[in-house]
Amino acid sequence: MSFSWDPDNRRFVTVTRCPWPGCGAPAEPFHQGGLQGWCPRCERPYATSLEPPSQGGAPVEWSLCPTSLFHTFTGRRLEGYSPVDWPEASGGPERSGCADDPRGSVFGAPNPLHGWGLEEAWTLPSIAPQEQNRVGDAVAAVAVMRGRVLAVSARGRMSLVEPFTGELLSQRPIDWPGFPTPDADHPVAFTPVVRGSRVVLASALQLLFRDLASQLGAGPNQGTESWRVVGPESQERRFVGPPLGLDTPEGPKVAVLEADAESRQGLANPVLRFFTLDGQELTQCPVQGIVRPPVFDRRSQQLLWLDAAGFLHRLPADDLSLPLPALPTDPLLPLSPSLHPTFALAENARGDTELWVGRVDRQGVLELCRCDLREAESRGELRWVRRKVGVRGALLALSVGRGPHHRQNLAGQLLAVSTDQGVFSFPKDLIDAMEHGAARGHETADLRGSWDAPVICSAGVLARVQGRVQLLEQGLPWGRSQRPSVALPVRYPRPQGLALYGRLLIMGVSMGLQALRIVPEGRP
Amino acid sequence: MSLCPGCQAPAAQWDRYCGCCGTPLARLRWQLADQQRELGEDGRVAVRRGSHALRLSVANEGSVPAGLVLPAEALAELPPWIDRARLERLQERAITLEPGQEQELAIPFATAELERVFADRGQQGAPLSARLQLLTTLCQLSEGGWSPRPLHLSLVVAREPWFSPAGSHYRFLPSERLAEGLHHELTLHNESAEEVEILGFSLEDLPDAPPSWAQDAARLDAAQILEGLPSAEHTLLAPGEQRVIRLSFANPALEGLGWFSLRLSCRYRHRSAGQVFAVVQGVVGAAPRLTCDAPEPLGHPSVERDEVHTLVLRNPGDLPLKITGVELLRGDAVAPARDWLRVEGLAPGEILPPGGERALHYTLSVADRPEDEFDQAWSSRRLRIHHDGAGARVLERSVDAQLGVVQVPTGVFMGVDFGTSNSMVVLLRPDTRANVALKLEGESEQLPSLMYFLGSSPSGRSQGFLFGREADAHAELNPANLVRSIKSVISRSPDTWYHFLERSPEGAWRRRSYRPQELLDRFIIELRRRAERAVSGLSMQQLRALRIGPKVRFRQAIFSHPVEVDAAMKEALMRAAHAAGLNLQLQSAEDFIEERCVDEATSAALAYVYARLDPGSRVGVEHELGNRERVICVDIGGGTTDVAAVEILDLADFWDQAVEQVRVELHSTAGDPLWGGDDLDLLLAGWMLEEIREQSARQGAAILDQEILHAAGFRSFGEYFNGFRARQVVRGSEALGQAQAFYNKAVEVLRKAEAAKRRLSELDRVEVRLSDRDWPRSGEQPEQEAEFRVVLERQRLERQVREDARARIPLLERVVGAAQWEWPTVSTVLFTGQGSRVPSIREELVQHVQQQRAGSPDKLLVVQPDDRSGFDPKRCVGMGAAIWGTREDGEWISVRRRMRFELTHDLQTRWGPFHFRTVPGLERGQSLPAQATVDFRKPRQTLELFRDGALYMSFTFPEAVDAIELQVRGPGDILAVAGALQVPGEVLS
Repeated sequence: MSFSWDPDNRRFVTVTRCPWPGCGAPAEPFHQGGLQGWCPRCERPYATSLEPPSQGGAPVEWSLCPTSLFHTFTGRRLEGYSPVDWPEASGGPERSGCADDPRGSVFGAPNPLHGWGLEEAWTLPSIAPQEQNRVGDAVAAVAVMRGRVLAVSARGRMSLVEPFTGELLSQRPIDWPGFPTPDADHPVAFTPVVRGSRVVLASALQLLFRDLASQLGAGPNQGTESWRVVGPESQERRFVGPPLGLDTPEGPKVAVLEADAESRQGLANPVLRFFTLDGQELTQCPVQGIVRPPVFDRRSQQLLWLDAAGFLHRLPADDLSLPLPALPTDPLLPLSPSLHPTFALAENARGDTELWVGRVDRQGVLELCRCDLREAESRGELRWVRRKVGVRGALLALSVGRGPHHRQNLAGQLLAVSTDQGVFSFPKDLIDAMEHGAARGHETADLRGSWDAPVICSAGVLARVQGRVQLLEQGLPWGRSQRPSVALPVRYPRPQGLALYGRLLIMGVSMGLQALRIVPEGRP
Repeated sequence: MSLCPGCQAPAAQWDRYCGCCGTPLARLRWQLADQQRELGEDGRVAVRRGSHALRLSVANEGSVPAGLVLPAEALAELPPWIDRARLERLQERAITLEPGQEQELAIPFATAELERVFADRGQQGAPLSARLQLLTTLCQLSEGGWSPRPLHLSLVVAREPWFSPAGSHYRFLPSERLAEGLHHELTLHNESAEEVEILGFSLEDLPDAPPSWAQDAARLDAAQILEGLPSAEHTLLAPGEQRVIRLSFANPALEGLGWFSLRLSCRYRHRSAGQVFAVVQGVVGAAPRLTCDAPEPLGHPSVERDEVHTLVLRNPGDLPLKITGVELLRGDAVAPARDWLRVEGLAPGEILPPGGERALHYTLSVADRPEDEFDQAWSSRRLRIHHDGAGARVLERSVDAQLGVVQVPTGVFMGVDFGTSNSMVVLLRPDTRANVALKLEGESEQLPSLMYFLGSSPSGRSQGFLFGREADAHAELNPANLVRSIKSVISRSPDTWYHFLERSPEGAWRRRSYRPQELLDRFIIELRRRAERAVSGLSMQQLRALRIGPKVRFRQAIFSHPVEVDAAMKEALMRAAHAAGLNLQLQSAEDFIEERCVDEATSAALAYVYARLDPGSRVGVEHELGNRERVICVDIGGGTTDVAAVEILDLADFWDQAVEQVRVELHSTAGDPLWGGDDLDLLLAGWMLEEIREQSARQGAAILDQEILHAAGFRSFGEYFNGFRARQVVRGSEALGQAQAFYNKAVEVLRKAEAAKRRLSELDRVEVRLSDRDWPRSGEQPEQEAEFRVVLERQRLERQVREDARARIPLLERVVGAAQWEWPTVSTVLFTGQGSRVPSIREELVQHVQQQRAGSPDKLLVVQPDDRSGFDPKRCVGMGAAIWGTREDGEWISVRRRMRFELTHDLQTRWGPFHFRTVPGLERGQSLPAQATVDFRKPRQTLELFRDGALYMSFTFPEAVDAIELQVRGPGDILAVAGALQVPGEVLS
């Protein structure tokens, strides 16, 4: 190998390649950083990065291996968000439940000649094979951090797993440090936030900040073994939502919603607490009236949440103690915390951010509402496009495909909701709000929908229901018989985590993990 | 595949750094070819006399290939003793070094030029050093981006002894540092192959001028600024040896800035005698500091109301000082954004000139105190001013204020009569039966529901709003900035922008817009603040009876509202209460209305019960207490009229202590949200304008009375202007000025009409005089100034008023009918509200009741203003609201709603572009719940319901249906059912 010098740009010439060691296949440049790429030769994902030179000129495009803890071009430590990872609840701070692949690189352009199927990739019976199971313990959340699967159990034990083979990185799980550890009454119930090599884990009573650099294979002296556990402000308070990562230019931060433990009317005295990734508290902000934990819009760098009247509250990331004036709603959009309204952010076809709200009215009818945030900012109020979708039941989760209409991105046209009656997919434009696909668990099950938010990618909508995992919607009006599914004959009594990594769908099953591979299939 | 030399992790060949540990994968080591000395990234090599080239050896000891290039710009500044022509062969050529590979590079010298440099003793010729830069494939991060990591090589001609640094310039030397003992160090280098003998040092002053920013600096000579010369004890300097020479600074007595410029000479012998020089120069002065004469801490005892204080900041130094930040801290944390201490007049980036002063204003705002400090007598904040001056770079003062212990009252109920014209606050303690109407404005218990926008200060900051009579007094300045009847504004058009006018710094009129919700928030906040301030003015006896202290913060309140209240109004009232920190525990508008609101008529009835039981009251003394009283409450407010049928049970038994509770049952209510006392003002204004139009027509140009009267119907300029623009009365940029002219005159006429209405209650005729200037007219204004005189007669007003009152009689009928009462069982008529002060209105209504209950053996009890019974019609709504709050305690009064609702409007469907048809079964007066079916000619998905021709509700089904059954369960609660599908309606207007 020899280097050549680019005299015009005053730099050595770099070629875009697959960054996985041992592959190095030439890759098509994206001219954009922060995207997900897919190597057709080794069939593994990678991330793109644009590195601007300090003295001007065009930035260098560089491909990053998902497992890298350091930037392989600049040597900088990678501490922020990675599009390849599944770094928090619903896959990102926008809570869209959608793979961060707006160009549709991983699954390629939709092809009428083939669809997508599911096949078992590997099964890991237990994330702690050498230890006895603890009372009430099971995998409670699954995330992907730095190209490794992080499985977290309800009692706070963590294990890192190699995603392509299902091998444990270490035979012993990483135990919850300190005392007390999460017990059966106060388990880890939320998907952690992962950024770089740091993880933030939450139970109702504790927040754990920990650096897993050494467990991820960092070289000597590259990770800190320090950890910090933070509790609520008082004994009567609880953490009431999954931690939220705030990806700001100054570095990532974490927000957690805290409220009174005993409250009959929604969230009482809710406060957002902000931390650095090493657990240092930055500030607090009271968020009176909030109906659900907030989401973070990385484009506008604002935390967003709605109150019971549907007013939008905004908190800029550069001043986390001072919310902007709330944007009123016209007409009012009543959201009752008891009816579990759910919201998510997603880009629309123009590339603007849209706020999506799923709500169930008092008659139990599901309504989907959409609002363009840029338009709302300029107008000074929210104008909702509302559509009742003829689905009934208690709303559990809402997933919205994101990304502009790129020819390869099918995910941007999809939308899925999970209720206690099933998982339903819809076209995102809501022109006709009739469901395109539905998955329901066995009729004997208590819950026929999904505990975990459905996952949207360019291959379609992936949902786990009692007894099986199903690929619901592939953007094509196929019949019910053409919806691939894999049987999963185990009990599914609570959220166990559902994460996407490239073409792998990974989920918690009892105390272990199950990975399914999404594979191309000829048209049935 | 390569392995990282640091952690043995696999790496790709083209990676520059290891992805696991961040170690550079390529390791370039360079050294002189004939020596084993590694040069490092910033190598320094001596060039000897007679050398032809410098030979460098570069090796890659890493695990991936590395690249190296000599960029063209590195050759641009080379001295002539380097042979650039030969070196250019290497220029811009990438050299690839595989792992383990070593390569030699030669830097050729121009030998003749180099010899000339060695021979030139005056040091005036070519530079004695050269700096070469090689770029590598490794990267370094700087200035927000990456750049190729360079290898630097400094070539120094090893000639005669030399000083480093040869020139030193102190931009500013603080005299404080000089006092601490500051030394200036110089290094004398011997890079020759022989010993150098130092013969001695000397100093001389150079005639250089000081820098431009310190032109006035005093000249300091060497004796003033230095404490003597360095000694030359070790006189011999071995080859390659370096010697540190230390100059000690003295602290000269200075006022202002001083400037010195010195040259240190070192005489030596090296083969022959020679001298080497070093120049030291700089500016000396007092360092910039930030001082403040104010004591620490700044104590403010007994702060009762907002106070503004001033701190004077000084910079006694000789350099400007920059403020880099202003912080307010509570403990170690940042103080809340809205706090009792506000600092104004100092912003980061401000410069304090040398010797300058700066006033810093801080405001102690009692009302903005955080609630968690209510139980502390003293509150404390730390003011930190960061600067770039000397010392700790922060000036800190603690600000302590004795704001007093504030109590959050419990057991005391706060009733708010949020009226169209006036608002009141009444406190009630049920266990002691103490009740007080708070004096919200001076000695008055009523705060007129008026707001006036003050505009912006010349600096562009909004000066906020005035309230009550103060707002009324300012209305003459700019009537367009007055909002009348803030409650009506909200209830009539909740989605409008309200525009106010203010002068821009250039003098032009411009608009400032507010949402109705913002106006309502501000008014309710002001109401709460005034109520809290009024509590501190209560007598000790009153405070003792209420069992509260003089400083309180209210967190709960019960609001009165009109009978007809829509969803938007409920939401708006709840948001305003939340903004004022009231009733925060109720998050939904329905709960808020249910728990913390009561309609005005009901609340008046509750106050009546209270008065009947008060031994000190004369209400109904001539009527014996009974165990069943049926009361019709008529509340004629400024903008609304409410009627309620209330039944009071067990009053006599309670008085005799035979039962523990009085039972109050609300049977029905009805209201007219669009008629009240203000309509009389509008009526009189219309008559006045009619007369003025005739008089102005005689002047030659009639006034535009219809548009002025139209403007008078609006409660704020903003609302009027929106319609004015929409109707395109005047187009283009003149619209704002024209609308302002109409509205100003409308307000003037209304104010005159209101005054005339009051006088007409005593006089038969009243003459109103108005100037004939500034009226919008159909032609030119007459040159001669004159007056319009309008005579208003009581008789005519009475006639009209009686007509209006008779139009309200159906309200009484509706209420009694809905309660399913027989007219003779009605025992009492209770009048409240400012509109009921007009006797003719009362007479008409009482006359109707008397007629209806003809034959009843019992005498009708009429409670009305001015009947000297002691029943206060002004405070009764607020009082009743407070009593409504006590029902939670259930101690002495129980309140039950037995209302039967009925439709107050026809519910219609569209029947053509401008025609609507009432749905059979959903007519006005239909008791609720009710149901009716709407059939479609062809299947439809959507149904729209109208009320008086205005869109009221819409229902959308997921699929088209043939017919829809409407189930009307209560006001605003309609469910549409089609087969198995059910869609609830949502109120749209």
